[in-house]
Amino acid sequence: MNVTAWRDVSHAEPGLLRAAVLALLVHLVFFAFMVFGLSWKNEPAETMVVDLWSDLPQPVKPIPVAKQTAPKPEVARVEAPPPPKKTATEIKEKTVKPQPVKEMTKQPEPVKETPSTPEPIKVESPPPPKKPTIEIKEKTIKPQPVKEATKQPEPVKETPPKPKLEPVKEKVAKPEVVKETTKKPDLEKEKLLKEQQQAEEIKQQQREREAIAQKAAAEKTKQMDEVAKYKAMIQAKIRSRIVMPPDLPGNPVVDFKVTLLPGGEVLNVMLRRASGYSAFDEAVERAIFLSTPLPIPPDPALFREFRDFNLTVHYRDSL
Amino acid sequence: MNTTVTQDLSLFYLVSSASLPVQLVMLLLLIASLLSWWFIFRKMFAIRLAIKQSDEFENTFWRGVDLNALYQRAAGARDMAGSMERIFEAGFREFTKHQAGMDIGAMMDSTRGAMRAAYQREMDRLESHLSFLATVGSVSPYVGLFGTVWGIMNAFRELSNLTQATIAHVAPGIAEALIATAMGLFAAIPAVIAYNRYASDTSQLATRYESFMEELSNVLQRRAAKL
Repeated sequence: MNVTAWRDVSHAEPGLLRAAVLALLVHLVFFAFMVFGLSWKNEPAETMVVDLWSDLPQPVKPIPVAKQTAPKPEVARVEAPPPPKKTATEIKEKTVKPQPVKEMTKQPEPVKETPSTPEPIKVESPPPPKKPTIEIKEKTIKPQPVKEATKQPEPVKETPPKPKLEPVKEKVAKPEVVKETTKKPDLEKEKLLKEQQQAEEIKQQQREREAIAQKAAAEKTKQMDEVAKYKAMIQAKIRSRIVMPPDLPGNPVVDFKVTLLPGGEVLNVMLRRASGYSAFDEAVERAIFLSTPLPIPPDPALFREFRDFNLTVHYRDSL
Repeated sequence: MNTTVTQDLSLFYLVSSASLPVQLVMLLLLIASLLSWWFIFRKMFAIRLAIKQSDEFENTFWRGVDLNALYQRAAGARDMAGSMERIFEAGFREFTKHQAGMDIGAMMDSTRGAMRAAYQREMDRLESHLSFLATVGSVSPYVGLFGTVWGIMNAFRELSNLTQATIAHVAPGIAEALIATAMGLFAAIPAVIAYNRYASDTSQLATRYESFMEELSNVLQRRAAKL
C-alpha cells in the first residue's frame, strides 16, 4: 500500500510545463535567427562598368550647346563660343551668328578620327558644295539658307546623333523667314555682303579643321605603318629562331598571345589556338622566348599595341 | 511566423518547395528537436532539484538529528522528499519492522535490500529520458543527412533534363536539402551536450547515494547492536 503511493509520488516531476515552454522558446529564437539573422535573398553584387577613354568624350558636349541651354564652361578645346543665350537672340537679328552653332555641330569631327575610313571622305566631300554656295549667294538671299542647310547634313553624316542636329537646322532656317518678312530690299545687299563674309569665314574654318583632321589621319596611318612594321619585325625575328619540326602535312597555324614588358622582353606566352601538332607549337613557343627582347617601337604610345598582341605563325612561310 | 521574404531563397520557400520525403524528414527532426529540448529542460530542473535536496538532507542527517524524527518527517512529506530521503525512509522502515532479538545479519540484509530497491527506483527516475537524448544526439544527424542526400539526388535528377547545367540550377535544390542537415545538427548538438552533462551528473548522484546507503547501513547496524 505504502509502496504504491510512493511510486505515484515519484512520478510527479517538477517543471514539466516550464520545460515545454522553454523548449518552444529555444526553437522560436533559433527560428527567428534563421529568418531574420541570415540574408536569404541573394542579391547579385552590383557590377561596375568602367569605360576607358583615351580622349575626353567630347561629342556629348556640343549637344547642350546646340539646344541653347548648356552653360559655357563645358567647352574646353574650341575657341570659346559666345554664351549660348546670346547666340539664340543674335541669330534672330542677323545671320552672322550661326557660325558658333555650326562650329558646335562640327566639333565631333576631330574627336571621331579614330576609324581610319571616314577621313578621306571628309577631305574630299566638303569643298564642292561650298563653292557653289558663294556664287548663288551673290544672286539671292533665299537660296542661301537652303545651301546652308545642305551643307550641314555633311557633318550629320559624320556625327552619329542625328536628332540633335536637326534643331540646329531649324534655328538657322527660322531667322531667314523673319528677315524676308521684316527687312527691305536696301538692306538685302548689306546682308548679302555680310553673308558672303560669313560664308567665307565658315569655309576657312572648315578648311582648317580638315587640315587638322588630315594631319591627324596622316599621323594615324604613320602610326599604323609603324605598328605593322614592328609586327613584321617581330614575326621575322621569331620565325628566324624557330626550329621547324620536319615534314608536317599541310600548313598548320598556331596562335599565341604574347605579353611583353616595356623593354620588349617576353613576359608571358599563352597558346590561343593550337595547330594540332604539339611539336610545332612547342617549337614556336621556344622561339618566342629565345627571341627576347623583341623589337618594339621606341615610342611609348605605340607600346600599347604590343603589350598584349596575337602572334600567328604559319608552318610554311610562303602561304 | 512572419511570411516576410518570398524572394529567392527564403526559408519558407525552401521548406515548402522541398520534396515530400525531405519535408517528412524535416518534420521528424523538428519533433525530435522539440522533444529533446523539452527533456533537456525537464532533466535540468530535475537534476538540479535532486542535487539541492540531497545537499539539504545530508546536512540535516549528519547534524545528528534523531533518526526517528527524520523518518517521521520523510514519511509525512513524501511529495517534497528527495531521492536520498526516500532511500533513507525505505531503509529505516524496513529496519523498524524488525523486533529486538532477531538476527542482526538477516535484519541488515533486508534493510540493505530495501534501500537498494529504493536506490534503483530513484536512479531509474533520474536517468529516464536520458536515453532519448542520446538517441536524438546520435541519430538525428543521419536523419538530416538522409534528407539532404534525397534532396540533392532530386536536384541532380532534375538537372539531367537540362542541356546546359549551371550552378544556379542545382543551388536551390541543394540549399533546401541542406536545411535538413542543419535541422539534424540543431537537434543533435544540444542533445549530445545535455546527455553527456546529465549522465555525469546522475553518476555523481549515484555515487553519493551509494555511499550514503553504506553509511546509513553502518549506522543502523550499530543501532541494532545496541538494542
